[in-house]
Amino acid sequence: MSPQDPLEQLLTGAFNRELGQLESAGSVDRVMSRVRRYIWLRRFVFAAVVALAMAALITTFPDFLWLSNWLLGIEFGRQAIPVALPLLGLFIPWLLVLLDDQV
Amino acid sequence: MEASDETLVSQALNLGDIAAFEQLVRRHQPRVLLLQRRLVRDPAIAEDLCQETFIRAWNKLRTFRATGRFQAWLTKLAYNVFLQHLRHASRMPKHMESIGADGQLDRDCLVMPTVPIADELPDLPKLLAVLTKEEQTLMVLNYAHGLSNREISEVLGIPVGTIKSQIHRAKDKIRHRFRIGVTP
Repeated sequence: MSPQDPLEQLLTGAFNRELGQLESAGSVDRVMSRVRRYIWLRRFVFAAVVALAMAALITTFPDFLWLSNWLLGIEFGRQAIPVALPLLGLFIPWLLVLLDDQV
Repeated sequence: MEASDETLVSQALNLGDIAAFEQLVRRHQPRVLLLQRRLVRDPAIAEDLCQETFIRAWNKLRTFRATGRFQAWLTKLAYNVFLQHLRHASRMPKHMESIGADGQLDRDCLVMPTVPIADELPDLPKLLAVLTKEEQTLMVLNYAHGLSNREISEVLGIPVGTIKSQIHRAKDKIRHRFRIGVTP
């Protein structure tokens, strides 16, 4: 079928006009907003799970306390570590979400 | 110069670059939305399926092989999202009744709705209204997504020959209905 065919021209033009309308409908932003929320939620959940696993490890095996102290660079008390690490794990992704929204 | 789809996929995949993925979304979203609108009819559900398509695309980005076209890969994903929506729907939408359980099109399904012939240039909904739902889907994949017959065949799981004849028939319908290039 030749591109000069009136039917081809009509169809191509009609599809291009329709796509142009959909492009300007603002739904791209809605798609991206949901995709971003999903991506950050996944990262958030991942970080939280890692932090909780670490807290569980330290609680079960106190010998790992030196590791968490070293990671944090702060001399927390033995009781503070299992609380502090999950909080840190939650805080960092949250901060990233805030920063991402600013961008 | 705009980065190719493959470059953007690579950036999104290796660097976790959301901005690169956003470029892909901006580039392909209108086509995906147009396809979903033709498939489900309800604009709200179509937009939801469109969003679901891109979330799935992000998750499955690793399965994309650079040997094929990203557009074809994404279209297949969009179609699978639609099929999954159908499976979850409590009742099957009317327009899918002519598609069998194996996804094959029913060749006998020929509906010719009455559409007034407008004097001005007909827009897309008017043009597509003279086609069956299956033919509409094929035309969207062919013209809006720019897929070849072979790529459409891979997306829908229908033989290439069937696609060729369906598209040919669809064009004939539009040609005769709107008297394009037809001498009275």
